[in-house]
Amino acid sequence: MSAFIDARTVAAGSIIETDLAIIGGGPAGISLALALAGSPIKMVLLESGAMNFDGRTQALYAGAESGFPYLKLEGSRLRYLGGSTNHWGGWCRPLNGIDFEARDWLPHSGWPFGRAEIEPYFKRAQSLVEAGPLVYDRGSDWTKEIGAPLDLGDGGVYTSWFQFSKTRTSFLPTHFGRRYADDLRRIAHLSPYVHANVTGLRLAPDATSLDHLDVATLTGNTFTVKPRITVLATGAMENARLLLASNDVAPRGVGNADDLVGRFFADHPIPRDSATLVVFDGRLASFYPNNTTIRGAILRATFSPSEDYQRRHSVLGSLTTVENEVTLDELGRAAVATAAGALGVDGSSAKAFSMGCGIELAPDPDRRLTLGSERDALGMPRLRLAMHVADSNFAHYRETMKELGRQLLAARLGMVRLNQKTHADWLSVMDWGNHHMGTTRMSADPRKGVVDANSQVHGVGNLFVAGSSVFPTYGASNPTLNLVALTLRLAAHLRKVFA
Amino acid sequence: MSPTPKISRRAVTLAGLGVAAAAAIGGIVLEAPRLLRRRARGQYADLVNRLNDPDQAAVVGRALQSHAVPAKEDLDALRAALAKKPFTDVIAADAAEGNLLEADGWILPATLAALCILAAQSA
Repeated sequence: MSAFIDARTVAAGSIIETDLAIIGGGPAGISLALALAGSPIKMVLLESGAMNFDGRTQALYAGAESGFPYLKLEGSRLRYLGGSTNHWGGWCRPLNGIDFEARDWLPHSGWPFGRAEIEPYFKRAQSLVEAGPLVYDRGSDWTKEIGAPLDLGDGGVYTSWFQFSKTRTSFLPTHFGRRYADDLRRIAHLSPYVHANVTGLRLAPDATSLDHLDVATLTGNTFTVKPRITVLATGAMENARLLLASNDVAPRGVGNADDLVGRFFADHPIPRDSATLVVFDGRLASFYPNNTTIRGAILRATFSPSEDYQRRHSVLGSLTTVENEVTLDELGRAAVATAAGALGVDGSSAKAFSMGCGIELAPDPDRRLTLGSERDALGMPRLRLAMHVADSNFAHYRETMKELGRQLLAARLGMVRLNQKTHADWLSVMDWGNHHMGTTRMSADPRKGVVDANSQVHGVGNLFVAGSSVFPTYGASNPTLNLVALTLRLAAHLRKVFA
Repeated sequence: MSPTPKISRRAVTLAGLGVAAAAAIGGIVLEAPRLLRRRARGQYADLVNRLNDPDQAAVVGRALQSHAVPAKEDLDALRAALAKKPFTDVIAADAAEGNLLEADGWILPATLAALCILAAQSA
């Protein structure tokens, strides 16, 4: 078993040659290394942090935000082995088919392939995130013995399902660094480096290939890695930063001939108390408000717009969860009593629940990361985020919740209150998923995307990008399971490239 | 074999009256809130009194103040619909067809919302 190599101890100025360099030891980088473990490909993994949180390393992430209020750039991600899985919540759900489609009502939408292309990789991805058997929208069958989902009848909203990552010895979700450190050590042809910050992607003079990587440590050591192929897997913010900052040969940055790198940044808004659910008879299966463990799967029901409804009504995706029981005010009690009575049902046992949600954002080129004038401890320009969220994103969500309300009334089961309406309302309850996406978007057309369908940077033959930065549209599903599946697909492609 | 005990007709009658009285008292107790509820009066009474509790409906109606009072022809159409279908089915059908209004965020069948507006007018 080989040990992790401390980059601070590497001889200054040395040149390390390898087949494949993986930049970043988060879920994408680790999944890629594990997927190529059985191949003869000689690999180097370069992780900026080490095994635990370190304030100086984390500070390299600091930047500036403007526009729609957003999280501090250094606060919504983690820079040590395992990356942001060190603080993720473990929520998993595959993207839906519609999430890959070009939709005429949604500018900039459409992946270069459909969901079927990554479908074969979900089983292994599910195993890597340790979320148990692949159940998801078979959840209603899986949980029959616990209860039945609400019979919402015909309509646009249905009960869909989350699953959760869980380690074998802890209630916390899988932290990729801790969980897979030993597996990485066991890969004979992998050299994993810690404290190794890549500060430059250096192109060959003709700019069509990557020649080498500049590596620096916070102690001032520097050396070079010279790979045949490189995969950039540092998260959607750092991927953009490194591409933009590497502007010595290509003045606009690597892969940025069409000024796309850093644009289309996205996250999932997760506003709290977005709506109130009332069930007239007060009975709601426990898998709505709680995570439910059954036969090795941790499941939770969620309300989701059907793909057909999304197409017909031109609405973005969302996932709405039932949270805590709440007490209604005078108007709420009157509305419930009046509606239940008018529908001929008994509302005297009605219960009300606050609901929360995750909302898909529409792709927006002006929601953008650029380089600022300030520099970090390694001399790298810091990022600036111009956050921009149009109110229409929230209008899509209200439309879906209104449909849920319609279905509940038509089925005489209950009703819904839409708790947020104005821009100020949404701001007052806003939180974020920390799901950074979109900044190196994928498209078959180099004018519309940074990477092609194989995740190769357009025009740079030996540079690939892994992670949710390549998502051209985002869906409402949490990205980790999906980015791992996409990375496994990239691994299969790289095996062919090296063959 | 012992003789069958004789029960007089008077005793049976008294027992029957007792059961009936108990049922009546129980019914009054259970239904008292409903019986004591204010009944709407005026031009919309026939519609508003379809609701279980016009006072509760008026609370909802006040949250719909920005909406106009339903026009006479709409109310006539509603009366015609109610002559053919049970009230609860009219309300459920309204929801099924997506005829909805929002009262301070509460999603309501439009007909029910209209009746709530009338209840607020009548209160």
